[in-house]
Amino acid sequence: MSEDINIIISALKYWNIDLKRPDRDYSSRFKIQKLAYLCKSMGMSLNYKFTLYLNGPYSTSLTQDYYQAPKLIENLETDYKFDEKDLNILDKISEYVLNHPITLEYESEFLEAVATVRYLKNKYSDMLDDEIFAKTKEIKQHLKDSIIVLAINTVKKLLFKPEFLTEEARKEMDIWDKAED
Amino acid sequence: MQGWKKLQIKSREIWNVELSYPGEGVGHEEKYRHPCIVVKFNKFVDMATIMPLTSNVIVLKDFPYTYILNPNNSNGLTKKSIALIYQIRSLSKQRFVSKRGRIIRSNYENIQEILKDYFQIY
Repeated sequence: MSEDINIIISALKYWNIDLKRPDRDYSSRFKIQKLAYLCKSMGMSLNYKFTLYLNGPYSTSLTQDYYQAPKLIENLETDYKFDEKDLNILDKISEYVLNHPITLEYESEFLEAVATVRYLKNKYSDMLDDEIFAKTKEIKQHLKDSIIVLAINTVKKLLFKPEFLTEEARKEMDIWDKAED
Repeated sequence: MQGWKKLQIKSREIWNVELSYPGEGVGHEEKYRHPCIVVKFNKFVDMATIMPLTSNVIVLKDFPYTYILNPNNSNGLTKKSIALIYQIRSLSKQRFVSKRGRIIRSNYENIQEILKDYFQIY
C-alpha cells in the first residue's frame, strides 16, 4: 500500500465526505477515483497514474490501495497534514465541484464529466472548448450536453490564474465597459 | 442608425452593435462595432440584454463563463468567435445597427446553462 492513500483519505476527511467501504460499494470507488484524479491534475503530489477508462480517469494502483485499506477509508483514519498549496486545491475542488448545485441531482455524472474534461485538456492542451465538447461527447455518449458544458466551465474555474488577465484581455473588456446603456 | 425605432430584435439573434454613439468615436467606428448575442429584448424600455462576441478567441479561451461559436450560414459570423457570457449587459436599441443571423438552438441552450451557472439559478 502506498503512502498516497493517506493523502486521499485526508482529502476526504477535509471535505467531510462520508463513504462506505470501497471494497463493497461502487459509488465510493467511483468518487475516490474521480476526486483523486482532480487532486493530482490540480498539482497535488500523488504518484498514481491515471488512464481514461470507461467512466473517466482511473488508476489501478489507487484501486489496489483502497482494496487493501477499506476500513481506513470508511473511518477516515489518517494523520496526514496538508500544506497551504494543497489546501488551496482542496478548497477549489470543494467550491467549484463538490458544492456545485448540479451535484444535488447529477453528482456522479458531473464528477465524471469534470474529471474527463480535465483529462482531455491535460492531454490535448491546444484543444478549444468546442473540440473538447465534441471529444467528450464522442467518448461519453451517456452524458447530457448541459453537464459537459458545465464541466468545461468548471474546469476553467479550477484552472484559472490571475495571469490570464493580460493587457490584451483587459483591452477586449474595456471596449464593452465603455458602453453602459 | 436611422430608423432604429423600427428594428425588430429577438432572442438568439446576432446583431452588430455600435459601442460608441455617432460623434463619440470619430475615426474608430469600425473598431467599436461588435457582434453580440441577444438574450432578451425589453420592448417597454427599448433595450436589449446582450452578450458580446469577439474573434479574439485565443486571448479569452481560458476564461470561465465563455462559449465558442463556429461560423455558419445561420449565425452570420465570419470567424470563430467567443461569447463573453460574464459581460452580459443591457444596451439601448439605438446601438443596434444590423442583424447578422441567429444562433442554433443547441448552442443557445448551452449558453443558457453557463448563464444559469453564472447567476447560480437552479
